Amino acid sequence: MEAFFTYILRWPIVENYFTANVWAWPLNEIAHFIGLSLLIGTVGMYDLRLLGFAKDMPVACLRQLLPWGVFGFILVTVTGLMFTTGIYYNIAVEPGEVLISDGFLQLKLIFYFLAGINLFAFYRTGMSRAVGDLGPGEDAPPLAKTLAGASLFFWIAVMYFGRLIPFGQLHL
Amino acid sequence: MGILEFLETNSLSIWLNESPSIFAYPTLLALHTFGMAFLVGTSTAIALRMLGFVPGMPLAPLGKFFPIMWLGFSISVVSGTLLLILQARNFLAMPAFYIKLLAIAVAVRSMRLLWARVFSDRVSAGTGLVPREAQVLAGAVLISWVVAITAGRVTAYIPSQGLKTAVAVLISTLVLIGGGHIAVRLWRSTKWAQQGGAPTSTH
Amino acid sequence: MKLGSLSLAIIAANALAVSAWAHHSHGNYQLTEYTHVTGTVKEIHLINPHSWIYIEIVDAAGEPTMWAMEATGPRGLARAGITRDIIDIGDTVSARCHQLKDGSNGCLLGYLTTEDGIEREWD
Repeated sequence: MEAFFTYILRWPIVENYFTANVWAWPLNEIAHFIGLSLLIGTVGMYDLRLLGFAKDMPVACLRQLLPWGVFGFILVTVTGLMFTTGIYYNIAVEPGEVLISDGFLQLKLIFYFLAGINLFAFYRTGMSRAVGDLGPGEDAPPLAKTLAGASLFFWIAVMYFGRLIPFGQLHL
Repeated sequence: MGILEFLETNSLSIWLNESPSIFAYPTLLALHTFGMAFLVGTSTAIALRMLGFVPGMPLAPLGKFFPIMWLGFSISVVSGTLLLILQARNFLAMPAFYIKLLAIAVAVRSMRLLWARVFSDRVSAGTGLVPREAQVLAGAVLISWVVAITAGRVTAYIPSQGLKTAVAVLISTLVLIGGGHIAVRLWRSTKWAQQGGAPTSTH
Repeated sequence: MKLGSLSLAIIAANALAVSAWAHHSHGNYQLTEYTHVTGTVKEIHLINPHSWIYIEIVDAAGEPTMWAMEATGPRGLARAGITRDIIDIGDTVSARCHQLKDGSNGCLLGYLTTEDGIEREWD
């Protein structure tokens, strides 16, 4: 069982890619930052509108920006997985060991999944459809505001704890 | 050398440099990330609107997001200045650091010009028409952010590695933009084929 | 351009600056084998994000040469129970560390044995 977590997360193909190309790890970091900027920017603007900021903006217009946020999300997730599966290149510690040792990484992942659950709830409760037609000056329903606020909080938490990962305990 | 040494050895710098507290150096880095996310994220959204990727979005309400962008900028400037001070002698000896500052200056200047020419102009702020000049500025903003983020990250590495990374970023960006362009063209042509021809209006 | 001339002046003033901490990512060190070095401590920087200990060793030709040893930051050191008072300028220390892949005079700690004879992990 321990072997499952300890070894299944370690991908030699990713490690070799990083080892063979000295630009690969930094490129991964840069793509991660660009992705998070796209994600926070678009989703953040959408959430802020739902919370009542810049009310003249029709929600549907901000919705059009969201595909860029999705692209950002894909970037951060793919690069994040590459950091995880290839971490041995950087610190010679098994990914599984880093996962159980580093509290900041754990917190980041918890908030990442909370953001996902929050998004799921946004659709499931019908809030997504409800806000889609909001025109200039129109207020979002309280539940939508709560979910929007939570979304903003969760993504900022993901950023915060993500930045803290190297400062956590990296091995047992 | 005196002033730079003072910058690195005053009590605030020493605390930030040497404290094991998570609220010192690590949180300072995180604040720099927050600033970047809102600065780059918001300005990218505005630039995308200028470039026609979000047609129909009214400009006046979009202009309300400029303060969010400037808030992000302020956070980045303050945190960035502190980070610089902690290792002033190191950073000031790195070409990458100056490239980063130059790129940020270009992006910020472009956003200020956009504000002046497109958003604060009462005529165009309502209609949603975007002059060619605004598109050039928007393009400059996007390119500058990629350069700034790359140059900034590269200050953590040795110069030869940084140079190779810059090339890798350039190639990746070109591939991504080229690929996106082709993908959009393909998607449009299949969509128009289904509809029996391209739409007649251009907007 | 006042800022430009100020920058140039600062760069010029720093052209001779010692210890530009080589920003090596961990990927620049070969992490499979240990190199052994012994020398005299010249500089101690226990800082974020990475600590640096500079030692002067005598190389094969009998010449004094500087080695830069990189270690974890203050949080990691605190976790390992390492404090500033266990090491000082002028101490003789020996290290088991991971050398830079290009073979130059730098390595990643690893283990450092201070003058009190205790070997600690500075990772």
